[in-house]
Amino acid sequence: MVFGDLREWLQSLAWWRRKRERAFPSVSSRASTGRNEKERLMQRGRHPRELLDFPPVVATAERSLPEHEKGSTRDARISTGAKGADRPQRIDLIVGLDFGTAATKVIVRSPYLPGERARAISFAELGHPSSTYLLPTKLHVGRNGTLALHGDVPGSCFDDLKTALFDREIPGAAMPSSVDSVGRAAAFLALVLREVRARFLQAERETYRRFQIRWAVNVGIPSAGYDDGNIREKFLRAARVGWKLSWETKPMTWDLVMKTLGEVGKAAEDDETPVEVIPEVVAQAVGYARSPLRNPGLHLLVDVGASTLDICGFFLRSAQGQDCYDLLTTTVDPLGVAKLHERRIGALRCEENAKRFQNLDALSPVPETLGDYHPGCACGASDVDGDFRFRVACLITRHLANLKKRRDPYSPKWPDGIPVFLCGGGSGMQLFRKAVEQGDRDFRQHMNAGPIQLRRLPKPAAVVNRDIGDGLFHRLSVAYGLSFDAANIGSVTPPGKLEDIIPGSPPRRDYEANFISKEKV
Amino acid sequence: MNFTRAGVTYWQVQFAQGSNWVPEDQLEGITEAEEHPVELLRRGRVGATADLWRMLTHVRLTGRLANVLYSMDMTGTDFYAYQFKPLVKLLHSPSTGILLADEVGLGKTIEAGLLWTELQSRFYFRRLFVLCPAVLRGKWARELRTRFGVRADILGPGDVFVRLRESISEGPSAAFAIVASIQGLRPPRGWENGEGEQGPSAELARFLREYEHLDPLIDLLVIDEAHYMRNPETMTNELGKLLRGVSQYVALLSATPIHLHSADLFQLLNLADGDLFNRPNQFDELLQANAPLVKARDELQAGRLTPESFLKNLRLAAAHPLLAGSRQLCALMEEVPPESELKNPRIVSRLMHRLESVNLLGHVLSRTRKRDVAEWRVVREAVPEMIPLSPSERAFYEAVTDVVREFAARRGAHEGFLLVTPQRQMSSCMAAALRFWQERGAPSEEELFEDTGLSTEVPTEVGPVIQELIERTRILGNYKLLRREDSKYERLRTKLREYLAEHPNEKIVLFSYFRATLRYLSERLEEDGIPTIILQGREEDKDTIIDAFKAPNGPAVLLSSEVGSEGLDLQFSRVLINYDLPWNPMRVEQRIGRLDRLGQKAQRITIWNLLHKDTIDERIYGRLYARLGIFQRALGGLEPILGERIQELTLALLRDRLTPEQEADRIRQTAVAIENRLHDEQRLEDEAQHLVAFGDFILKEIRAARELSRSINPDDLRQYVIGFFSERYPGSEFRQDPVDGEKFRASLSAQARFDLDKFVRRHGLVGQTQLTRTDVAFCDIRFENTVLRGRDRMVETVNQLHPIVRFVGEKLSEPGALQPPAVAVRVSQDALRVRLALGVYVFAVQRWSVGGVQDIERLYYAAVRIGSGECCLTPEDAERLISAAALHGEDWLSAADHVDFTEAARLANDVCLAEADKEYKAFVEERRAQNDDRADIQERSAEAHFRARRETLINVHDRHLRAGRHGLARATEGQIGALKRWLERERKRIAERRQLTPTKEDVCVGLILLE
Repeated sequence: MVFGDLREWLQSLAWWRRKRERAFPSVSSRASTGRNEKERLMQRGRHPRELLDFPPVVATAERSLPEHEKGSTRDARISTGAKGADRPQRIDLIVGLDFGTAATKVIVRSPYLPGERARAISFAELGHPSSTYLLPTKLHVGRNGTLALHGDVPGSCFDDLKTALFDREIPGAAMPSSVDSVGRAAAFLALVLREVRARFLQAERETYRRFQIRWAVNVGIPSAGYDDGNIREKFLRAARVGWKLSWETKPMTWDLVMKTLGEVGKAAEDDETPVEVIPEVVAQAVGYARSPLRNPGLHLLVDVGASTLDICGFFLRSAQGQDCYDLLTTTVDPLGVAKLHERRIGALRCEENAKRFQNLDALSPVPETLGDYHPGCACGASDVDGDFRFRVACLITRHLANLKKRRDPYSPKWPDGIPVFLCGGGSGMQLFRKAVEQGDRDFRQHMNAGPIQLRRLPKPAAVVNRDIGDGLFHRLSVAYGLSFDAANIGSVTPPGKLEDIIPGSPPRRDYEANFISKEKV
Repeated sequence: MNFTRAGVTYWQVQFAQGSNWVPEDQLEGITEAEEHPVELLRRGRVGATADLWRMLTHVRLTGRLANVLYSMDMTGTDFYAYQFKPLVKLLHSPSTGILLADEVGLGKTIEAGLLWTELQSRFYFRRLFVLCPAVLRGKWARELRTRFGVRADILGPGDVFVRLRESISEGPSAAFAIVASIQGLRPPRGWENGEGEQGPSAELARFLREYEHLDPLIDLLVIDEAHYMRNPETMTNELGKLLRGVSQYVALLSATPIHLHSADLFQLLNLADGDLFNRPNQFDELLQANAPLVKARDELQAGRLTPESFLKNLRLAAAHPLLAGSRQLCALMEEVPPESELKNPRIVSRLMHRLESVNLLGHVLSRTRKRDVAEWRVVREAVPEMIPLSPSERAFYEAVTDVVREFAARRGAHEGFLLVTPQRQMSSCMAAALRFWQERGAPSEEELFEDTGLSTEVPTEVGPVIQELIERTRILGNYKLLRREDSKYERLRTKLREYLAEHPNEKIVLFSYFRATLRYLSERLEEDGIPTIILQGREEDKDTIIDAFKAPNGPAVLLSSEVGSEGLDLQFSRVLINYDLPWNPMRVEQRIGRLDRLGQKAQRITIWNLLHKDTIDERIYGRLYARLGIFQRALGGLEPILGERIQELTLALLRDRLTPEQEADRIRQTAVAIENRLHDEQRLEDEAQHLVAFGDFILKEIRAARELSRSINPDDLRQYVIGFFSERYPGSEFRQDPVDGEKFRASLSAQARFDLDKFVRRHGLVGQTQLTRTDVAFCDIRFENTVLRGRDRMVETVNQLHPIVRFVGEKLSEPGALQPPAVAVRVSQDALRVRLALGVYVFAVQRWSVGGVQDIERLYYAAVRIGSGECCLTPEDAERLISAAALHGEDWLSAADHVDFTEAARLANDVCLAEADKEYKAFVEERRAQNDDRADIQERSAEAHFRARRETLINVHDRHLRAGRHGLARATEGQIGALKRWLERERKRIAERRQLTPTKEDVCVGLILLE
């Protein structure tokens, strides 16, 4: 009874405080302001400003950790010099880290401040020339053995950090054989997290300097890997080791990585480290699920990455006030933009043009069509675009058919067409959009369903970066989803734990009773 | 429910859009009761910019703020402050009628359209009726559609009758926009008794009379060219009164000058508000009464006013019968400020406004002259071209002039202007006139109007003259010969060729009052390789013609009649050719007015006048037009003066056989007479301009409204609507178009649809939105605060009048829906138009509402800079600062680091809100006095109306009885009964509204860091 009353009281408290934030996504509520602490400080005759200054951050890979970041790995207080002062007010900051194959993107959010203020991290000179918000997923080894996010020693750069976590054997050049893929990923993530904290606090010092920060990190994992306990453990371990490493003040070396790896136990058993891995598909969907666009039920998500094409059919529902994501179908295929580019280069018979585009890195924009590689040329390049599009379309058809036949045949969304999120760096290319539409058409030739509804989320007002428009935001949308508190992202059920529904049999979940589809009438 | 992770306990909290886990230390305790914003500020519980923005937007959208112009930026018109003057005056006026007497070319149509848009926005009006001359119906329908998004139907009397009758059964959902002609609706004489010719217009008139004292059938009645109604004996005037009787508001449009002793002006004011203006010399009295007030105002403005002279002037004004008993005057006399305060700009500004408001009757009239409009800077350059007549032309000219003079001498002066027509046609183009007479004969009434501008109530009797001419055409001249020896055309062709060779991309507008001339010129110019296009009154699709002419590869010359081009903007052209010269200078002014309009890019426009040498035209040009400077400056609306004189002159020239010298003398006499008259009129008008308190205050208010962005923009609407539905109706979707940011695909949740549908039905808005439809999954909408329809018909425009915005406003106005916040905002100095000292400001916003005869609301802004003592900014600067913060500010999350909240709360409470309370008290007292004055005026006016109307009805009743028409007598008894009930209702209504119901509420307080 007491518990019940307390809960009710707390709910009313939070409701009051959060009403405005939730009422208008772009609108925020009253901020709480640490008034008492300041009052006390002033009574002691000290202006609060002198307590709050902290040194500027120099954003270099080899820099030592800023003074204010030293100390606890959990409660990093920004304000220095407040010796003897009462504890400043706590604030949660969540790092959403989209660990992409080619580029890493990060957004940091304060979920309990007015407007749930979120900032995408600009990596400035470390970022890709096409956008400073894209940090190439590369780990450089310097001549002195230090690890860094940039470097110019030939042949000493690892750029398969993410895909390697899926592999058993990891080939490596300048790496001791004992350092596995987890160590390399952890080293990279540690460097990224250091950069992120430094750059974030530099940009937001005015806002956060009077708070005591409680950090948490969410790292994305491909949905296909989420079902595999081994892969999931590798990602989680890399993230947690990376987090611990990021607080080290010594230069990053393989020895330090090895030592920390040894200290950190099995990730799955660690409840204390505030680091989680979240399926990318869920991260992609959470922004939608938490927006006014939310429409529970079946969805398809097509994430066009640099190397891979991730497709996932999922079901969004609520259970006991929480979001639940049932992953119904997931595939990861090497059909990303970079793969398309490779095939096109391979198809070109005019060497000069092929050379011109050969060194295009995975993050640079790829020409729209094969013809754009060699305008006016009649070298007779084979139609790789058509073939590629066909393969993507087949995948879409397969997913849709699987969902309609076995995974969710009763969805009330079929007659009007299910919502499809086309996202990722390559989603702007016509080829992928047409392939998705083609796949849908092929599917509907055999199945009774309405045409799919392609959707894209606009940039949320909570993201404060003014130079990010809707066009760039879709590349950061996974990081944005990851910046929600893991506790609030909801639960995820991997495909292996969900049985097929055989037509004629009762629905899989009792929530289906909430929907009345035509088939049931 | 809770769990613990990494030592932190999380609680599950239910929000509107689902539940969230929240760390325990992020939850805050609240008190049960709603906290005052000052208390929130004291405790440092400050909200964000959006809170401030949302409160201000909500108040602007749901309130009826006196200093917000809701029509601003909503229409397809450019912004000119003076065009908002009539609507501001009407809103301030105790009357519901206004006479818009602007000079030609200032856009009276636009002013009427803006007035309609404003009334629509404030009172959700939906029944518009435009009465105009027949030839202007198309223009009105087009202007309403293209500039104000109003789809008006052009209806005849039968259809008007049916539509008005239908609207009664439709109740509050009735909506229409009707354009009808004066000629078509004018009832026949004897309509009331059922005598004489009967028809739909008589039936309509009886219907209007029947509904005179019931609920209004029309929200706004616009009467264009209202001077046609100046004669109270005519049926046209009767029609005006009948329609006025069933209309809530009326706007009369006329370029009539403000001639203080003019009976015409009285008649028009009487039509605008017959109950307030029921004595012919009333306007004159009004000016006399105002004189001491204006004197005091001028002295105040010049800084010469002493408390003694102020009081003296006020007493003088109070002694006038018209202002005796004025509470506003009494209040002013009781609070004469000391001399030191008479130099304080804030006090001076407020006193000036109060002085201007004392005599509310001045608001019934609005007049702007071109010289008052700063945007007017175009120079007019007149180039006369005197062309000698060829022998055959000379012979034809003299022969026709003889016929007309002979006829005039025979028929006497009473034939008037009509005799002039053939003469004028010949002066335009001899060949065309001859051909026209041979082919067509007498012109129709409509043609006559277009060719001569004559009032349509004058019977057409041009036939006999033309008949005589036709009979004599064989001996008068030979068409082929006149065509071959057409000296005027030859000059035109040569000049055109030269000019177009030099300026190949220029567009030239050629005017003629005679349509036969336009056709003739079109044929000949085409033959000579100069492409042309004709525009005349009958053309249905004038826009297409103008577009074709405007196109870079379009024809170089537009051949237009002035009626044809009426209401069109030809300011992209800078060369005008007068192929003939109307003798009435007003017609010339109308021609020039097409080019000399707002938007003319050229510094100078050229007016090329083609005239035959040694003709009456030449003499009129040289001795009248040139002397009066017709081509150099706008004469303004002096048509009645000029019209009378010119008519006399014309008759004299045609009736009396004068030698050229005598003609010249006669013209000179007229010129001198007109000049003297003009001089007098200008002086009187200048005085009137001064006297009737046209006050700069109103224009200042309008400019301030624009400068301070006191209007609603699409962002306001978007966030207001989407934010609300996100909170209250989960499952509602507003999906943004990836290309067009203001376009959304909206799909409301079932509950939202249901509630909105209920709202729509309750307010009679059915059919105004597709959002409530259940047979479609979504509806495309665009947030755009305009009354114009978008290009894409499938996309619904959401403006401030849209049902969904009104729905949100109603919901958020429910108690407790929006709590007044305390906020902390930072804004850059660049966002402000004025320079204010940098630093931290504490501010407060209050909403004042005063209910009474006229409900008035306003927002009061107060701000004080921390560290500047306790001296508040002026309310205008405070508004600038707070508006800029709401529009361009960012959340100031670190306010706690810089500000002592206790001190800030003290300043908000003891300085800003205290200042607001003080101003509020003065505001209410002013309103109280004004309200009593308004109530007095309305009461007197209602009683006067009752007495006059009852007398008329009793007479009618007696007449019916005497004639044995017992049925009609009974009907009249019924009308007398209705009149009595009306008076009782009016008395009650006025008595109720005499009680002032003032309220104020604190809207927001907070901090602004100006950096």
